[in-house]
Amino acid sequence: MNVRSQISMVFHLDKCIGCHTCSIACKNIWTDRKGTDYMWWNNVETKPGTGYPTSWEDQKKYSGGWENKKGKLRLNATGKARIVPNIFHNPHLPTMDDYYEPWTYDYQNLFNAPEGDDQPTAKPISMVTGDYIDIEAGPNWDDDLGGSPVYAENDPNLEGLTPDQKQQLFAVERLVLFYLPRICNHCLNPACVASCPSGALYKRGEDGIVLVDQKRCRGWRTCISACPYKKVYYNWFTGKSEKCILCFPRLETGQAPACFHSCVGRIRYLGVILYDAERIDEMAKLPPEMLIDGQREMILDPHDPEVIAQARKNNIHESVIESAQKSPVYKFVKDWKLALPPHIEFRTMPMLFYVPPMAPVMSARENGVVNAVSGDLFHDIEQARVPLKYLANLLGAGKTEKVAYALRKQKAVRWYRRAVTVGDVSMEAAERMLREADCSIAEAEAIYALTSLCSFEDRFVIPPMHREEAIEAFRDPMEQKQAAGFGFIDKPRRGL
Amino acid sequence: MATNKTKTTSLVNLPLFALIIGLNLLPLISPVSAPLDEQQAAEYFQKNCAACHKIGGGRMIGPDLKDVTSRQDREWLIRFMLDPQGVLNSGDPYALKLQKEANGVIMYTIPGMTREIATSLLDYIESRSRGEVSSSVTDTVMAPTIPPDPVAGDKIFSGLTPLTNSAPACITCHSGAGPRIGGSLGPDLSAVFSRLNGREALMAWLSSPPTPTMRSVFSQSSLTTDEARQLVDLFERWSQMKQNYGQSNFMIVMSVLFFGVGGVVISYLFMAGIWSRRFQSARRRLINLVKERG
Repeated sequence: MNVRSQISMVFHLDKCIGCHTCSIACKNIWTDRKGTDYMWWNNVETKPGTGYPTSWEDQKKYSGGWENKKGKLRLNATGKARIVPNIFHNPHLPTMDDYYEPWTYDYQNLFNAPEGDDQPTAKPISMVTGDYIDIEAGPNWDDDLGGSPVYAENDPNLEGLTPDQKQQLFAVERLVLFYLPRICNHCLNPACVASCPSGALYKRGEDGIVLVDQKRCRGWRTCISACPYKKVYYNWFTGKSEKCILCFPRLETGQAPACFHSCVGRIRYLGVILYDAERIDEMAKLPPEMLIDGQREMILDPHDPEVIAQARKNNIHESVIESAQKSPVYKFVKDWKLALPPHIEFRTMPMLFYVPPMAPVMSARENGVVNAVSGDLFHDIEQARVPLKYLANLLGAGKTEKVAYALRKQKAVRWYRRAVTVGDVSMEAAERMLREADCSIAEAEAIYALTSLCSFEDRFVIPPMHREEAIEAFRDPMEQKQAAGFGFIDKPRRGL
Repeated sequence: MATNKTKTTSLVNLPLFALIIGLNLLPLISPVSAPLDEQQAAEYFQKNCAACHKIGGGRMIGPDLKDVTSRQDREWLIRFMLDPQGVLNSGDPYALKLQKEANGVIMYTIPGMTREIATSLLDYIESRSRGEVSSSVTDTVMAPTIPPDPVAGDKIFSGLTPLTNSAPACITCHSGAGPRIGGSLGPDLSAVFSRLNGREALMAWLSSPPTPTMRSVFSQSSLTTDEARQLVDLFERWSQMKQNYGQSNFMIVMSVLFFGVGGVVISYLFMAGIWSRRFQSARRRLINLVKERG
């Protein structure tokens, strides 16, 4: 057992309202520099939809992620031998059109336009070429099912749905959508790190954050094609790749990342999990339907004395172990099995988990009473407006069981709480639902608390980063503290 | 015929006889600038002029000198013999005509030529013109029974067979037809057979090369008759090859052009084929799909 710690995340999709506050918070902090204008380290997509960049989930087009080839994990996009013939031409990259051509507006025209019959307008200007352009696409162009025939209907997750199901999905009055906020998954088996010929990408040992070393990056862009989530971006101004850094400077000072901090719907959870690094290779090779169980198995119980002993042996700080024991992520993923990894079939072992959305509400009001009690309590989950198969393609590696389990449990908790607080559902029926959803009353209360009543401290259990220990390796921490913010960019030399 | 042959034989012996006498008399002879007697003139002619000229019997590289004194004014001839290049440079029409007749080959200035020697030579030519056909070395080597051997010539040219009298191989200074790339001091010899007027003339030339550069090398270590003959065989082969060679060269250039340019185009098309979907925009494709559907 090789115990490592990882800062991991859960996004509760049932709570996401698609307001893009997270995206803007991230943009304002990290990607408003020249060359990063088109990057959205955090973006929110409408599902069904093709997302950003367009059709990022379609690995036939982008060749991201890993495949299990005769018992060996192999990158789809590149490899030691395959990189040589492509050394001047990295294939499978998204084009600028697939992201979008970043633009601004000619605001000066509002003030300087010569007098005329019409109101002056601020025409859009490309931030790449500086010419006037017609805007044809943006980072959330298909938001709220905008341009459905082009985008939503070509969602790669619709694969395997019957024509009937597809038709239902887009039929008037049955139309349904939900939001999928996305950041870097800080995977356990990151394809971007494996693909880099310069060795510029690395996964931090202490918290598993995946970073691009800006000094070593040579702009090969293999990370961009290798990442199946298309969460590494090429800065066209610096010629280096950049990606979500999980706001590590904030984490190191005990603050939640900007997108987590600013989240209006409070959908985001962050905490440490302990995992067995020895088993990554074994688990990443499992057949697709076993991948979710494999990943869960790899995540270790932080209360297990054996795990704690091994963690100590690996120099994981006591405070980090404590933090892992309080981690909301561990509860969602391992205890409750509510949160699922996105597209685990890409085999990168993503460390960002999604609680599948319940929306739309699966009940009908009849004569002023919500009619939910029926012979088959879970009938409506199978008949949900978002076909289960669709969610399974997104979060269950194509298999519906895990998604159905999570939805049933969520629904049971809802009905249980309804029975407690409103009382229009009988407690007997609610308890029966809980039983059938593999959930105890205590667990239901805990899920309810962490979903609805969660405070900052509940959602973000940030381990102390012990910067003083890291600083100590290089200089006196006290001196560092006293001199922070003072220094020279170019050191003055003595004498003339 | 019979009489003719007898006379030739006697004439061949004449210079030999003259040489023996000449050598015996050598200490008594005044410096070179003095006029030559007939023996000496004959010797001098044989040594310096016979490579290119005959007296009667047709032109070789240079014109037949029979009755030359009646064709051109004696003073002009002496001037030309003293400095052929100078006369040519002066734009003399007769000299230009001669150059044209000789396929552009200009007569070399003979070292040590003086007015006296020139006069003596003209006297000699005049007297010979009245007499018989010049005896040239070619008469003896043009044995028709020996089959041509350009392969041996090729070996001599390239230096694979060392020259008997240890002169440097031709390729040291000359290049030839085909892939024979040699030195660039001397001219390219691909077309030398036609340029120097054929077999007989070439044989004469090679027996005592008259150009200053070659003379300095080959006067001490001359080619043997066999070597000269084999070289001429080679030059003749080249002259026959020349037409074909030029054509095949053209074919090579054309095929390189065709297969090179064609190959590049084909490989580009091939690459464009296998990589056609590389930079295809995913979004644009979706829009086109919808447009097609209408």
